[in-house]
Amino acid sequence: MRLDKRFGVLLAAYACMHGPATWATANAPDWMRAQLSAQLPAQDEETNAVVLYSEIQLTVLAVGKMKRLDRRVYKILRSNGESHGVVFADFGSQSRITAMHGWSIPAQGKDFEVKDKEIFETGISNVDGGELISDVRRKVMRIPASVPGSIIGYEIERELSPYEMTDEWEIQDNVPVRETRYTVRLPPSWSYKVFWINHGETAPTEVAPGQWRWIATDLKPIKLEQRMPPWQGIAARMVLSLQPPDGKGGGFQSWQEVGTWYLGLANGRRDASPVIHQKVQELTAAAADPLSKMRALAAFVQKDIRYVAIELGVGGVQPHAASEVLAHGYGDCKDKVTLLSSMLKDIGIESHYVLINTERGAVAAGTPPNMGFNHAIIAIQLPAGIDKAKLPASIAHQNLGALLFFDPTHTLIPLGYLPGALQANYGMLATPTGGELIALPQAPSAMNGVERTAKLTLDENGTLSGDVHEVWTGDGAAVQRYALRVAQQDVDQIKPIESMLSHSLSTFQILHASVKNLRVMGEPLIWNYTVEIPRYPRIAGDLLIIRPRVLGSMSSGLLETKEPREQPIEFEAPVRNSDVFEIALPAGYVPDSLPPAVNEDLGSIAYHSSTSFKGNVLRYTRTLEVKELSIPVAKVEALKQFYRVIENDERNSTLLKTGK
Amino acid sequence: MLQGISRLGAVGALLSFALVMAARADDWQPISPEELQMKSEPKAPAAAAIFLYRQIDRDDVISTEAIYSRIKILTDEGRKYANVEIPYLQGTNRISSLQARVIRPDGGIAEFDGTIYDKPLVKARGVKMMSKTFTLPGVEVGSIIEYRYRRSMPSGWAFNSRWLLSDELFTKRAVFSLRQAINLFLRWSWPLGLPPDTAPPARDHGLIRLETKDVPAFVTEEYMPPEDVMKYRVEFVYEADSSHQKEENDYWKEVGKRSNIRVERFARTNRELEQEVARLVQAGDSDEIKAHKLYARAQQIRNLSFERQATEQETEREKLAENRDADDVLEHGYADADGITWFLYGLLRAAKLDASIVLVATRDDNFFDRRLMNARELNTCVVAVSLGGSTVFLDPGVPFMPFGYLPWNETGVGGLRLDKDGGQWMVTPLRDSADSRVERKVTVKLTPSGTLEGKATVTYSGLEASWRRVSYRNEDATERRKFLEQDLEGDAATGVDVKLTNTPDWTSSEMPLVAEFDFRAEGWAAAAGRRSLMPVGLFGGSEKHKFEHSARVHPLYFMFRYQHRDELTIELPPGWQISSLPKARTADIKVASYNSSAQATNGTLSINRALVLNTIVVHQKFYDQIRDFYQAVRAGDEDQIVITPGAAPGVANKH
Repeated sequence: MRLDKRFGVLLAAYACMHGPATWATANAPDWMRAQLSAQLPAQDEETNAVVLYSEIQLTVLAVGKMKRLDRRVYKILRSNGESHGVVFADFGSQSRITAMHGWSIPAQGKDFEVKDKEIFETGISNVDGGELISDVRRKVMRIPASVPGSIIGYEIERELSPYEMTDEWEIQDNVPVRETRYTVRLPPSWSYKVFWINHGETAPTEVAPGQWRWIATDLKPIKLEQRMPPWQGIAARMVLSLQPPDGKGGGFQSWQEVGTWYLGLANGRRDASPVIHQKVQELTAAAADPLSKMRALAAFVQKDIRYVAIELGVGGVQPHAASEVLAHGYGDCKDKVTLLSSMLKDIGIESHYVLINTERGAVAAGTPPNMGFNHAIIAIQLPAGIDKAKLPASIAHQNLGALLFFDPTHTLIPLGYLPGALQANYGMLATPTGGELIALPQAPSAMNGVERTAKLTLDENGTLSGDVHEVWTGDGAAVQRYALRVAQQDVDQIKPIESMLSHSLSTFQILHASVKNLRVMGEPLIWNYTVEIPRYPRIAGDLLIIRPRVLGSMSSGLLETKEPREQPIEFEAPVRNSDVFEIALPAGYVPDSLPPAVNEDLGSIAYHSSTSFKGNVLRYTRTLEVKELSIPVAKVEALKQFYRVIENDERNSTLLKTGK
Repeated sequence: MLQGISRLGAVGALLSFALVMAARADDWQPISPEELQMKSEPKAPAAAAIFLYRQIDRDDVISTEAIYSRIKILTDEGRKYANVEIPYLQGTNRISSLQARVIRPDGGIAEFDGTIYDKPLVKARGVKMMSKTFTLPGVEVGSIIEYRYRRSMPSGWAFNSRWLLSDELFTKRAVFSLRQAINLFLRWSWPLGLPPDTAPPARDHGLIRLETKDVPAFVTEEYMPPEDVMKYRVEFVYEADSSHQKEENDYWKEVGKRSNIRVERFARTNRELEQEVARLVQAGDSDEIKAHKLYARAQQIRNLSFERQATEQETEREKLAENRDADDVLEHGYADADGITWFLYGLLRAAKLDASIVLVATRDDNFFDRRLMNARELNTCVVAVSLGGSTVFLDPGVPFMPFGYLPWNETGVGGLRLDKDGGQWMVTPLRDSADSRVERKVTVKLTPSGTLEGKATVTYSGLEASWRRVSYRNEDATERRKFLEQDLEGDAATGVDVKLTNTPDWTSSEMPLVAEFDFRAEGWAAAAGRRSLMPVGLFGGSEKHKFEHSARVHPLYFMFRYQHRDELTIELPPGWQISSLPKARTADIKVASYNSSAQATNGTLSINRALVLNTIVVHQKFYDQIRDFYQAVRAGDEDQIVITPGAAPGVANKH
C-alpha cells in the first residue's frame, strides 16, 4: 500500500494507534453555526482561510486563579488552509486544559466533532538544543473535513494559575478576521487596567455587572515576511492587568513591580559560597586588573558552564542557586547570570539581572509591564578606571554609573560586545530598588563584519591566483566560529569558504587554508587561504573580460518578491563589510574602460565601490555598512533599488585590451 | 523497522540466560591511560566527541537488550553528549539498571546520582512514548562519559532487529551480540559490507557476535543514496518457524507462489471483467491499443492512496467497502494503488494479453537486496505486459504516469515477476534521459536599457511532468501557479520575473505539462564602457551550487535521468551589433553532458543550452570528474556576449 505522506510523524504515529471505532455525529455548537451566514471579510486569492469569529472569555476567580475559554471559527478557502484544522494547545504548571473540542461543518453532509480520544499530547523540549526537560506540553487535535468550503471551529477551556494577574487578547491573525471578542468577568470589587499595543484604544461594554466586553471587527491579516519584526511588535494586542480589591497579588502596574517580583524569586540564589570563592580566586589569580578579572569570570561562565535548561514549575522563571550551578557545571540563561553575578560580587563588582526578549521589537518602550521575556543576561556595574570606549555594550546609567551588558549564554560573543539581536533592544533591569525598562546600546557597525583583502595575479594562461585574508569580528566572527566548531570532519571546516566562493566563481581550487583565533574569543577570527581560479577572464575576440569583484556577495534578493512588502525590514545587527581586491595583470594589458564608481547612501545603509588601475594592478574596493537596524516600509522600494545597484556593481566587468 | 514475527513459548525456563547476560553488561569496562589522556582522534580529526566503546547485547530469548556507551568529549561542542535521552514505549518497553558516570581527565570518577526524568514524548489512546532523560554534571573537555541500561521488551516476543555500526560519532571500538530466539529461524546479513578489518558476524557459544573498530562518523551529503542504505549495519530477520526455506532461491519461490495465488484470486477473469474489456476495446485493436485503453481505464479508478489523508471519522463515515477482487474495483470505482494495479492486470488478462504482476521494491528509502530474504521489502507492484515482442511496464496505481512509464522510485529496481512456479527475477528499466525533459523556449526582445522582455514556454514531459503533477495533485490553481512561476524563476538568474498566462493541464498522464509565461529579466545586459555584456546562461540556477565542496564521502544518487534544453531567441534593438560571441562549449563525461552555443543572424541572437544527465548513481571515486563537469557547466553559463549598442541610447546600468 502506498500512502501519501502529507502529515508529520506524530500524526502518522497517532493514526497508527487508532483502533476500529464507530462515530456518532454531533452538531457543531450554536456559536459556530451562527457563522454559516456570516459575510466573509475582504481577502485576496492567496488567503487560505478567514477567521469568521473568535472569542475569549476570562473569568477571574481569585488571585492566582482564572479560567479562560478560547473559541475560534475559520472558513477554509483553499487546500493549504487545511493547516488551520490542526490545533495546538500548550499547557504546563501555570495552565491546565480542562476541555478541548473541535468541530467542522462541511459544505455537504453532517457535522463532525473531534472526540477526546482523538486528541494526543506531545512534549516540546529540544534536548539537542540544551532543553533537557520542561513541564510545558502540547495537546494536538486534527479537525475532520478541514477542507475548502468547510467551516471549522474549536474551543479550549483552561484553568490558569499565573504568576501575574494579566491576560492578553491577540486581536489579529495571519488571515483576515471578521469579528473577535474579549470578555472578562471579575469578582466583586476587582478592577482592571487595559494596555493597547498596535491598536487604538477601544471602550468596552459592560454586558453584565462585573463583566466587560471588547469587540474588534474586519481586521487585516499580518503577512508573514522574511526579516519582519516579531509578531508581538506589530500585531494588535490588548493586555489586561487585573487588580484585586486590596491591591495585593494583582497584575503588574509598573516595571518597578516586575523587577521587585523577579528579585524576590532570585532572592538568595546569588549568595556566595566557599566553593565559589575558591573558584573565583583560581580564575582571577593571573588577572592584573578588574577588567581582566571580569573577562576571566565571564569566559568561565560562558564556556565552562554548559547550557542545560531544566524548567519544571517555577523553575521556568526562577534561577537555581549559584553554588548548585557551579557544582553541576550546567545551567540555563538565568542560572548562568546568577553564577556570574555571584562571582563578580566576590571580586567586589555589583551586577544585575536583565530580562530580555531575543527578538528585538517584541518588547519596546511602550510595552506594558509584563513578562514578555524569554532570556536573561547580566548588567555589570563597571568599576572606575575602565576604558568604556572598548566596551560598546556599555551605557551610562543615571543611578548605577557605567553598566556593561553581557550575555553569558552566547558562547561565541566575548565580554564587551552584545549579540546583534540584543543590541538596541529593551530589557528589564532588576535592581534592589525595583525594575526598570532600559534600552540596550547599539554597537558601532565597524565592530561587526568582515574585512576581506585579496592580492591576486592573473597569468598569461588566464589563471587568477593569490592569497585572501579575512578578518571577522562581532556576530560575523561568531557565525564563522560556529560553522567551524560544529564541523563533523576536518574536511567540513573549509565548506563555508567553498560555499562562499562557489557563489561567485564557476571554477576554483583552494590550495591552502588556515584559520586563526578559532577559540580565542577576544580576538578577531582570521581566515587565510590561497585560491586558484582557472580561466578567470572571458575571451571576447582580442579583448579579455574580467570582473573586478572577484568573490563575495553583498547584494540581496530579499525584496525581489512578486507581492509588495508590507512589513518593515529588521537587520540583525549593525555591520560593516569591506572588500579590497588587487589583481596584477599580465604585462601589456590595460583596461579599455573601468566600471563606474558606486556611491549609494540611504542613511540607514550605505554602499560604496570603486575600481582603479595603477601600474599593472586593477584595484577594486567596496564597503557595505548597515547603520540602522530597522527600515520602514516607506523606504523599502529604495532599499530594493539599492540592492539592485549592488548586484549590478557585482556583475560589472572590465574589458582588457593589450597595450603591446 | 522492528516487526513482531512470532510468539515464543517456554520463556521461564530460559531465565538463566538472562543472568549470564546481566553479568556481562553490569560491569564497567576498565579505562586505559590512553583513553584518559586522549586529546583527539587522528582518524576523526575534527570530532567533537567519539565513542571509545559501544556494546549492545541483545537476548531474544528473554527479550532484553543491554546497552553500554563510553564517549570521549574532545571539544566544548562535544559536551552536548552529556545530555542523554532514551526513548521507550511505556507498557511495552521497560528501561532498567540505568547507570551513568563521568570520568575526569585525571581519572577521578563521579557516579551519577542525579535525577532521571521520565519525560512524555507522545501520548495518545493509552499509548505513551516516553524517554528517560538525564544530564551528567561536571562534564568538561577531556572527560569520558559512560552510561548503560537494559531495555526489556514484551516477554515471549521476538523482533527483527539490526546492529547499526555507523553512528553520528566516530566509533573506536564496538561489540555486538545477539542470542537468537528459540524455535525461530534467523537470517542475518550486512548489505553495505562491514568496516575495514571487521570480521563478519559469527556464532560463538550460542551467540552471534561481531566486533568492529574505527567506524567513521556517519555524514549526510547532497545527492546521496537513502541514509539507511549507506550505514554499516547487520540486519536480522526472523521467520515464523524453522521449517521455512533457508536457501535464497527456495525462499523466494515460496514467496512468489503465495503472492501469485493472492493476485490470481483477486484478478481472476470473469464475466464482468470480460464485459468491461469488450466495452473498451474494438475487435481490430492491436495489442498495444488494447493495453493503452485498459491502462487509461485503470487510471480512471479513484486512487485512495493519493488522496488527501482523511481523518478516521471521515474514513469511517464514507464506509468504503473492501475490494475483494477486480470485480469489486470495477463496481466500487475506487481502490488503493496496488488494487488499481491488480485491477489492470485483471483487465489485461481478460483481454487475453500476456501480462503478469511484478513485485518490486521502491528505491526512495531503501535499496532492495534479495539476499536479505525479506519479502516485506517488495513494497509495491507493477504490471509487465508483452507487446510486440517487448515487455512494457505499467503502474496505474501512481497517478499521472504516461503509458509505459513507471514512477522514478520503481525504475531500475529488482522485482519478482510472479507465476505459479514462484516467479522470476528481473529488473525494471530506467527511462532514457530523452524521456524526461524540461524544455524552455524564450522569445524576447532586448530593450535599450538592457532588459529582456517577451514570452517563455516551459514543457515538462515524462517523469519531469509526472512528479510535478503528483506533488501538486491536491493543490488549487493559485498554488500550482505559484509553483510553476517559482520553478522557472528559481532556475533563472536573479531578477527574472515571470507570470503564468495559460491554464496548464494538470490532470493528463499522456500529455506534457505546458506552462506559458510573460517573461522579464531586468537589466540582463550590463554596461562595460562603450559596450554591454550579456551572459549566455539565462537559466542554470539549479546547477549554480551543485557539488561545490571538494570532499565527498558517499556515492552520488539521482532520482532519474533527464534532459534540460533551453532555446533563447533575443531580438536586439535596431542598430545594435554583436561584437563577440563566445565559442560553443561542450562537456561530455558520458554520464552527463553539456552543450551551449550562441549565434547571431540579422539582429537576432540565438542561444542554445542542453544539460543531459544519463545516470542515477555515480561512485564517489568519480566525484572529482562530476564536480569538474558542473564547474564547466557554470563556466559555460557565465560566458559573455559582447554587444555594441548602435545609434539608439546606450545600455545603461541594470537599474
